[in-house]
Amino acid sequence: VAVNDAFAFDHRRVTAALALDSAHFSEMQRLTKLLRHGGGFQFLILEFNDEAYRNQLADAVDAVLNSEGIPSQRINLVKAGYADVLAFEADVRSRVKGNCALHIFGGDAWLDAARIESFNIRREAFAKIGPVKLLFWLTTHKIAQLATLAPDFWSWRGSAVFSFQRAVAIATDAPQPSRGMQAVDARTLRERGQRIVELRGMLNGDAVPAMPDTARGLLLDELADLLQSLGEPDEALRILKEEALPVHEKLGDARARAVTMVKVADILQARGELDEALRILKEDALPVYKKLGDVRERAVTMGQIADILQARGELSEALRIRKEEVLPACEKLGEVKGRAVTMGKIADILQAWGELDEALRILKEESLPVYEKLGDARERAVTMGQIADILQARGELDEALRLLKEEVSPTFEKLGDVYGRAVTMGKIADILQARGELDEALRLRKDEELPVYEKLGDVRERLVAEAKLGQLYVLKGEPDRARELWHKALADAQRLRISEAAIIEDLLKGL
Amino acid sequence: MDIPPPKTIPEILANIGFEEALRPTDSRYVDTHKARGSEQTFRLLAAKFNFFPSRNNLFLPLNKVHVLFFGHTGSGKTTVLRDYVSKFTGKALFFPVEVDITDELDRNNLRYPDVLMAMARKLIDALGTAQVSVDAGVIASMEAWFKDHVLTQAVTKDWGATLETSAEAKAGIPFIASLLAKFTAGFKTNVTDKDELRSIVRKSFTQFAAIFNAFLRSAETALQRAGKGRRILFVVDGADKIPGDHTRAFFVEDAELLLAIEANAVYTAPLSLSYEGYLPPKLERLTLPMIKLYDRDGQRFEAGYSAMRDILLRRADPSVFKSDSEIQQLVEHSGGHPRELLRLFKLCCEVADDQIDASVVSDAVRMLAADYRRFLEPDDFHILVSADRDNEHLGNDARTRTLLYNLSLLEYNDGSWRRSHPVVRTLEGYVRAMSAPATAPAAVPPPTTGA
Repeated sequence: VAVNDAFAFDHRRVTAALALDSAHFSEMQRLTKLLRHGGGFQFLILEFNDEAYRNQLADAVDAVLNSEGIPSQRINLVKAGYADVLAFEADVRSRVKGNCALHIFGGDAWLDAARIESFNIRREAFAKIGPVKLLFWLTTHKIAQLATLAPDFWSWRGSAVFSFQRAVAIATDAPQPSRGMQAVDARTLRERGQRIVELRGMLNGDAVPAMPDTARGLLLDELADLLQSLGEPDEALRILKEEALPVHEKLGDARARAVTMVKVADILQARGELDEALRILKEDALPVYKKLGDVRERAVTMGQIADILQARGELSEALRIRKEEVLPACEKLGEVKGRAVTMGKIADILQAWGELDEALRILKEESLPVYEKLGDARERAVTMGQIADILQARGELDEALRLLKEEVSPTFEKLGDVYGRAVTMGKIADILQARGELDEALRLRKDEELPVYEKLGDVRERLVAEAKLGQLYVLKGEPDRARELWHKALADAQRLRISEAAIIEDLLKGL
Repeated sequence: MDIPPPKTIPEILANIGFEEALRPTDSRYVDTHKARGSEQTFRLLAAKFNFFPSRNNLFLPLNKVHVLFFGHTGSGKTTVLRDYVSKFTGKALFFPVEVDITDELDRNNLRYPDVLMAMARKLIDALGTAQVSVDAGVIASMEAWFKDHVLTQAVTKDWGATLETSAEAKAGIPFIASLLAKFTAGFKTNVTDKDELRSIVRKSFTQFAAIFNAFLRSAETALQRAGKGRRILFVVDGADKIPGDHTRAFFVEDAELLLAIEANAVYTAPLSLSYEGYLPPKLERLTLPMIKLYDRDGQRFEAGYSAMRDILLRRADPSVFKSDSEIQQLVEHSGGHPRELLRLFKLCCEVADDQIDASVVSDAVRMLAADYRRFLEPDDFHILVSADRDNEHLGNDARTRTLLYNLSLLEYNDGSWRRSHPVVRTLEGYVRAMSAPATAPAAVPPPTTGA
């Protein structure tokens, strides 16, 4: 068959697209057609959220192009270590020999605001390099940043964004059950239950009628923590606002008030009330710690602010805060564990950007050894969960499942950490779903995961789990149940203004 | 000679570049004046230069008129301006000199000294092509300025040495042309020396402006003698593509320099700049209206549909479309913006197998809408809905200017009314904002297809 034969080309691109997720059939057809027939230089933006799948997509594109006599190459901007856009441009120039395609990876981490500006300035220079097709593989967040920071650059794109988002990757930025540098309550479920009974007895005043307010405030905070950890956020919030805060205010204890406000923000954050949580951290906590010169608590609060930004998809700013504010403070304070936790969260961001190798290296070399040395079973389990996520993204499903079942889940069960266990069950369900074990995946989601989020009042986690449960129903041939769940999840996601809304909208459109 | 439009999707895809501005002689050119409701625009522009088309003459020609020609990015400013300029050109009229910033300079880092040097260079080139000679005394003054103020500087000291080795460029026009070429090349590509080169021009700008103004008058005298025109008209294109804050630096911070040059000039400018409160009053302004598909009261405007349809059919044979309905739908969803029409059409070509049918159009609308969703914020939809509900425009805060810049909001006629981009109206955020209680009847027709 001649390389330019139209039928052969159509046959190849259809075959290539059929090997992908069915939702991406049309996008792949559109992309290969434009690459084959579109003239001259092209700057194309491709959206992805799963690195292994992105590689599969790039392979499929290459197979079609190469058979048409169009060569292709790949550049990872991070691994190539370009100092600036000019260095990148020079490398592109040296690689291009006539009509060819270049897959550009690593843009999420490498293309910061300054480099986007530089790229914008040099865009005509790129266009004059020759008939090269630059395929920029970026995540949703980076694409939105590009469109907002450089609208004229955005309008220069060669076509509408090619979206290859995988719905299963909703889990990639799911919050980890980790509390940064804050002390972790390692007591078992039974131990915590006993402690709640003790605290209630003391606070009710029977045993210690003359308890001083300072002690009372501390005990109220502890009680709220315990109730929150056991899935009673409403009662925890009530205690913090109605009982603990008045005590601290009466004493004029600014630090204690700030600590309690941070706990309030924690609960609001878990419920998806991110704006108010962020406001509390910025206005009620941060200025107090700054005024008191409390470097440690200030760093903890900055870390929490970064958590919220991360949850809102503002990854670049979250990364900046962790690198420039939190990490230096940990190092200054000798907070070995705090540093390890922060590195783990940096790994989360890199993972969301598709930089799986670097994320895995950080977890294995910078986080895990610290927890093992400290004997911190909980943080070790959290980190093993993150590692399982990355293995899953790479397609190493068996090893990911083994880690979750044998290392992660038993630890959370032993600690009585219902949230951590539910997140782990969700991850196991993800893998079972990917392997086609739909019934067991459905059971885990319905019985082991969703009820916990409902009880904890964690709207974000609940809607993500509902979206995934809907996918399972679709796979089982029950689209009506899926539609019902997705409409409910969409309403919540839109209310929270989180990026999952767009994914769920697409799911509904695909029904 | 008319070139027949392509008949197959691959041919169309290979040729559909929509960044290209057209000349009136191009087979794809469509006269859009009636469609824009802009019959007055040409007359208004002409009047700013004391040119009265009915008499085909300049009445008391002016020496200094700087006009900012506003319009949405991609709305056809350059194409229309080229048509106007062709009507401005003539023995009793103007001698046009086109300066395309995109070609000549670095539009992403642009200040007025860069443009002035490019204008001077293009003028000298144009005079050479027209075989028109300028007074030797004026040339000597300009040559002296270069020798006294440019070649004495560290950053440019090598230029003189280079010219010494060139037989033609030792003096006079070739010498000046060579130095101007070095300036523009430096402004375009030399990142490190750019500021120093600008500084050279700025430090002795008063002297240079006086010399350049004398050069212009002398050139105009020579052009009149040669029967090639009475005044020089600079057409500075591409200034509308200067990104973000750089636009203000160029048109506002450098305005004094610009106004010191006694020239007739038209600069393309982004629509959002027209709402900046800082623009110097001495800069004349004119806005190219968008092609309108509806009148302000919601009545279909047939001339607009017809022109947009022609724009499409000059680039594709009608057989590419399953029926006329698909063409109508594409036009409808473009909002009267030519580049958006072509963007939608290109998406159709990417999606379609052999022919563009209703489902292909629907897919293209959905994909373009999805791109708008990436940067629109929840509150933006309320602004857009307000614009669609109100027959007057509702002010020009920063967010509204951004919406105009990114084309979510389109402006019609003399800027007195605005409408949201039709593809944006298909987004759920818009639909939800629209479902909120209205304070005025909606004048905008709902799109009939799409996502």
